[in-house]
Amino acid sequence: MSARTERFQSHRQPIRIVGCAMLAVVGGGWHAGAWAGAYVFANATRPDSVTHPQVYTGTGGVLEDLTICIDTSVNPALAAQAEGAVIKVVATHNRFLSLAGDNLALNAATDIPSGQVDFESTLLHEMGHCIGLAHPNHATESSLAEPSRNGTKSAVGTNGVFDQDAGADGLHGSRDDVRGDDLNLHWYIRNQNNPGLLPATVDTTTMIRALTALPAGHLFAANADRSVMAALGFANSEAVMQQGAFSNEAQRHFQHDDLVTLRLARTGLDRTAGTADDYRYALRYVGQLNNPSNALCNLRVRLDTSTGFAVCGLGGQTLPNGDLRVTSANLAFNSTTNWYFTAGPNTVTTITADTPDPSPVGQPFTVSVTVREAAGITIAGEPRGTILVTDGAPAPNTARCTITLAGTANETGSCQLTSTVAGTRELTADFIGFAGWDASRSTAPHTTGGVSVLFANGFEPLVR
Amino acid sequence: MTIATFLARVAVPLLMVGASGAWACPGTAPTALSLTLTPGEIRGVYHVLQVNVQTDGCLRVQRPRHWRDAGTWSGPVAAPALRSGAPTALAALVDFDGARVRAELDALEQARGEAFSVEGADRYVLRWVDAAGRSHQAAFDAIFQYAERYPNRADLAAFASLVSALQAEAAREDLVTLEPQS
Repeated sequence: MSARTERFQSHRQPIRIVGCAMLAVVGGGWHAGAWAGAYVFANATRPDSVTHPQVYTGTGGVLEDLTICIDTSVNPALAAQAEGAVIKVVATHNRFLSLAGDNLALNAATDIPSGQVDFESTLLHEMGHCIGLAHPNHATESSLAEPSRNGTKSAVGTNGVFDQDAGADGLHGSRDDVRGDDLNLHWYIRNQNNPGLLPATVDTTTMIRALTALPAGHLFAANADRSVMAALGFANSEAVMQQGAFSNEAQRHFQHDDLVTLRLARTGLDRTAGTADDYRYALRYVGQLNNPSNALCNLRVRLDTSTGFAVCGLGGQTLPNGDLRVTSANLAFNSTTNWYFTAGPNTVTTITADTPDPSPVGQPFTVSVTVREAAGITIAGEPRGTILVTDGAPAPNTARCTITLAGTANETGSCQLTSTVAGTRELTADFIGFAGWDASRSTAPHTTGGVSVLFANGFEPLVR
Repeated sequence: MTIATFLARVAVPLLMVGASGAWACPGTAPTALSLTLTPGEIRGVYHVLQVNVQTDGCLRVQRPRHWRDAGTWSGPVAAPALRSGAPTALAALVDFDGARVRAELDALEQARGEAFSVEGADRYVLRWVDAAGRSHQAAFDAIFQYAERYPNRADLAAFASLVSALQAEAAREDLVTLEPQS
């Protein structure tokens, strides 16, 4: 075996991971039951409208890639520094995985130098807007002050004002908020009200925007604000789409609330999972381009002074069912901001052994994996979290297992795969990231031999 | 010239010569024109950009904490249009009502079956005092994105142009730091 470690996802070969299929394999620490966020363009007159990315026009299936590029028509040298972060955000989007908690980290638990703002975290947030996600909280567009603007996204009711009241727990955005006649715009799972949960199926059989399916005693839809999440028992957890960046904060992993919102959109116009209008697509980085057209680049990243920090400006068009699709999307980042530009993942995942290799068909073999800090990176503690391992066999014969790293020094984790199809394939170990630790991947070849037969005397024959 | 006037106009500026050799300006003169830029996507009051053009031709800038050179900076106004009070641009904004403009634009989008939104929009507020001593204010969110979306709107173009000029002043490398931000 010869392990290969990838610090970048190649932009030439974007990974096409289908969310539902991938999420279905996720085991311990990943929950059923759920919650979701809100969509750009939903408002009082179209509260149930879902916003879809540019590549979706109402026809389901595997869509063409959604392209993203760096616009070098202004500040080209600075813009070029953003490339590593753009490539990482593309990979994060295409992994299509999320965490219940510990999707953010601060200060020494990150690789961000003191006083700097993480470009990658900001880009992940703005990219979410540019494919249709709104802030799950009131945010600044409500004109409410802190902390009221942490309340759940809604439109004003007939009284013309937000009736934002934190309720008995004093936390804005939690389930006991008293909201008068405010119109909720936040999708959630029926009879659940916990943004730290993730459903097996996401569509309108499980999700609803109206407040008619709240659990008993809940007054309003909760959102994945970090204080609300902490009260629910999820430390260091907040939806990426929640408004409000901080210096020295890394938020490079989707939280469940983000992913559920994306998955609901992917059920298409009928909002029913498993039907013909479901769609999926990959995000693809196309490079550094000078003032690209929308045809060349669906999401344009520019560093300039058209924003005081970061924005996504997007145009939309109404679809036949009242949903909207994005028609143009431009991301702008302030060029005078003290950005921290990541060069690549701050972890290195390595498959250290796969034994026996070759292994008999139908017999388990052990895959051992380590996750270490990348060269030049200093983050407090040790990498921990989940590693997803697959044998590379095509579905439905893909073998999978999961490793959970506890975060001890020099830790090696292992799990067993049982391949059911003969051949030499590429094992893949995907560390999905945790807090300030970035996701990274390792691959290694592995051969599975012919049929394995256990003799009656208990001895195993040679692989044939 | 009184002692106080001498201190304000001559002595204090002399004491405030920066390392770059540029002149810092005193902060005593009234503000003739100002920009307050509040970003949407970053939290905290320390992230507001404040640019004040004083009646004595001095510039006073509060660069936000997330900038590379945060803190309070000063120097003489460089742009000729701003030194003269930007009368042309401001004349186009005297009756500017940002809320009304947004409502017009939203209605236009809806009539076309389209929509436009700037997520995380920054708030830009211009304040100025005209030749007659009257105070004015114009505010708009995401001015550059809307000016690009509606290139035929003269009011948006004037607003964006003025903001752009003030931002350029705020980012000048020859300004003198008065109070670096830790």
